[in-house]
Amino acid sequence: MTSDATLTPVHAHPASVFRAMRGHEDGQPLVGNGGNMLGARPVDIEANENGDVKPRSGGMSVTPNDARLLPLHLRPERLGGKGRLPVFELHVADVVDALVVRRDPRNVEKHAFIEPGALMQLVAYQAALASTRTSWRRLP
Amino acid sequence: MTNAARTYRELLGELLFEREAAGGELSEEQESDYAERLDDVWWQLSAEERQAIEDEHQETAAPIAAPGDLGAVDVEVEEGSHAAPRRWAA
Repeated sequence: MTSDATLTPVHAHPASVFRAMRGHEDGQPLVGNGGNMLGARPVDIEANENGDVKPRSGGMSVTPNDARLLPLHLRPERLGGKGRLPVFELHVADVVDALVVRRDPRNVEKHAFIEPGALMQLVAYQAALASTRTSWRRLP
Repeated sequence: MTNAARTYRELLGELLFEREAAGGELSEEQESDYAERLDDVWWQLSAEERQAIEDEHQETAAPIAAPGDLGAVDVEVEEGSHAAPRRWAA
């Protein structure tokens, strides 16, 4: 098994992740399975016939380590982008046990997923994502 | 240029136009709708296409390399005069 110490920074587990999301009036992200909400859309992860989702099969998209790596349309204008949605940061240490952060092997530097850590019901996965709500910090 | 790259540029241009037409700001719901559509197209692009779009944006966002103070001052001119309304400051 490879340890993080042997990985280049771009492959190492990120310390934090960033995501542009609609904001709730309490300042935290809006929870839901729509676009730009705290939750996975149906296109982000596929449930099997039993309603289960599995690890390493995709999930809610995030940007690892640096908000400046967000795509142009999501990156805030003050970071050189065109985005106007609020951007939130989550420290990976605050990710609940049911979830795992995994870099996208097709785009290891700029894209990652927050995935189910084990086989679980889609509703349990969505609930686990929602349970991180208070851990996200809105960037100024 | 692929269809996805063309669509992305068109959608981004449309978003910027709609913001201007709305006086500079769209609602968060409208922003979210555009962001979701742009995101869907973004991940269809190749890494090279994404980089090309980023580079184009950086070029257009770069400040024009000209001095802020042109060193000229406005001067009074007579109506019908052919004299320039500005002269170089001493």
